[in-house]
Amino acid sequence: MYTSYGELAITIFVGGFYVATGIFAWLTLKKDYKAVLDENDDASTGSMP
Amino acid sequence: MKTLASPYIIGLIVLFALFIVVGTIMGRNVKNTADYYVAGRNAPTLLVTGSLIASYLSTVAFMGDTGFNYDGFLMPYVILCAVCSVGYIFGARYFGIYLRRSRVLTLPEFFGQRFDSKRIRMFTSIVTVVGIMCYLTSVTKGAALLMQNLLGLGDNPHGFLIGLAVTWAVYTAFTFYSGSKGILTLETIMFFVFTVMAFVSIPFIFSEAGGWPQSVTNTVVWLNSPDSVQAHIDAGAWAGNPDVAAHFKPGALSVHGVTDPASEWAYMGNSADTVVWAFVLGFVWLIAMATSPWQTSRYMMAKNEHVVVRTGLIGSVIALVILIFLDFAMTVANMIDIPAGVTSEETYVWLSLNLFPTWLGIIVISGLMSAALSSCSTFASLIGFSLANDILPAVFKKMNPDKGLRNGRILMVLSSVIVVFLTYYSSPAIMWVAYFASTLFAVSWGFVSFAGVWSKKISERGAFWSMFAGAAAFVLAQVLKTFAGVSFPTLLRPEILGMAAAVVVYFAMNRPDAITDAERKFFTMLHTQEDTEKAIARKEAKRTLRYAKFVIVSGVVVTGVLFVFYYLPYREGIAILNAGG
Repeated sequence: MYTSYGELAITIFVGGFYVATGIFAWLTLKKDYKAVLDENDDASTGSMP
Repeated sequence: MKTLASPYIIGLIVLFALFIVVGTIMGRNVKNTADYYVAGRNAPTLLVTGSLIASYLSTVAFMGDTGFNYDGFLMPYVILCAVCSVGYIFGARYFGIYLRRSRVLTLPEFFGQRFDSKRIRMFTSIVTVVGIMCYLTSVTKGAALLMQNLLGLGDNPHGFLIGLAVTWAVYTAFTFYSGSKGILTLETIMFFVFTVMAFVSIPFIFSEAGGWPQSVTNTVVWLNSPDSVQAHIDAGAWAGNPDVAAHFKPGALSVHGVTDPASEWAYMGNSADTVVWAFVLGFVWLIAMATSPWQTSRYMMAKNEHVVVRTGLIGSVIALVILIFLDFAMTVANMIDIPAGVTSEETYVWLSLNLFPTWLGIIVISGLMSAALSSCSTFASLIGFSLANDILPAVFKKMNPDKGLRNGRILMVLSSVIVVFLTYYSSPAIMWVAYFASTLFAVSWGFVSFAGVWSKKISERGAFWSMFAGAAAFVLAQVLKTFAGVSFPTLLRPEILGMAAAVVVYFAMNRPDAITDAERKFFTMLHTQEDTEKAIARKEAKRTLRYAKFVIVSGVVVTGVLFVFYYLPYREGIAILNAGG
């Protein structure tokens, strides 16, 4: 009896690994840029930083 | 194979002429060592990404890896690529930015300054030169074999030497004068050529293999047993090579590839070994992509830190997509009638010369040579840079530092001549030599690279002995494995032993109380962002975040495409096998 569960798992893993890495990158970069992003938001709304 | 007057050769001559002209024009702008070594630190995202991918993908990827997948190991290879490609993201984010910030010219110079150590700079320079020479030898071998066949000299006793000489002359001609500015531009052109090659050739391979989804299902069913192979040979499927053993590749599209001991293609071991190998080597290559000199040197050329981060993000997606979909097609190419005598590594070239339309064949041949030459130019220049900037000034104290530009050029040519000799007399395996060389960097300084940026407690002593132990343990284990036939358990492969040795020896030898003021000062400098970078961040932060979102979306798309184009027809093939088909 042949199965295809492993192949399905790897199909999901490949994209899932990228999604997880992308989310990690986005979150950590957002944290790094928080100060400048807040500064830009303040400038665009005219409020004091 | 086609001969000298063929349109393929004319296409190549035009391509080579373009490279040499562009290299010469760009070389005129080289005024100093910063221009020559790091392109004036002013390269935009497009050029850094193009160069990053072009220096990574070579004949190893387009001949060695395509051959490996033609042999029947697609999914282990997909695992390996998925794991290692994110090395670009982590490398750029946690190492590349800081490497660029240090304003050094070479990676060994970075290590030397970070640990205020001449011996670390010398050791990493020697590993760089030796490792990259091995890699360059491997890539040059593939390019020379390709050139030999294109020139119609496959049976000529001196054919390989002629192919080698032409390959060397071309890449030396444009690398010698142009410096990093020219190399970045040329490698970006080459990157576009082989990207077009990969994506245009994929549908043609599927078409020749019987069309999608039939070709995928047939690959599962036809190759599964000797009886099935024989039945399809009798039906005329592989008239050019009616040898059952040549086509008996059960599990070629499965998660572990061909592992049935009855098949002569089951050279990777059992199922567990193969899958573990894919994850382990994927992780080792992740570290290599993040910290190897031929990849990180590109970050030093970026015009700002946002370019470094964006390059890592977009580069990881491009590398993954090119590799897994081209190699998916190359596994399905088992359904094509390819004559006996064409080796796995030659299969993609054979397809392009014999089955593709001439215009596509020209693109593929140009793309393959572009991939080969782009890596050759990067490697040759890195060897020359490291010799001129790190090794010779330490050996010859009276060397004039103002002659760095001239020395870099001369040493690049001399080292490439040595590589020509090594290539001529070395082993024919293209892929495995490259894997060995790239692994050497990861096991030696993968750990210290990140620790050196992120830990204040790492001392010169800990760093040096960690690097030394990692390299020594890996080389020793690899020698025992290759020459003495010693077999290592899957989880104690030479790469793992090397990495473990680097970490263990670091903790045994590190002396945080011996850290010098120079080391502390350099560490502080690494974590101090320049005012110009802060100003750039105000304008560019949102745009850089969009690149991270692009990675997330790409992950969803890749799984979706694999599910539809790979998994569904694969499952159909499995259903046929279970039904006794």
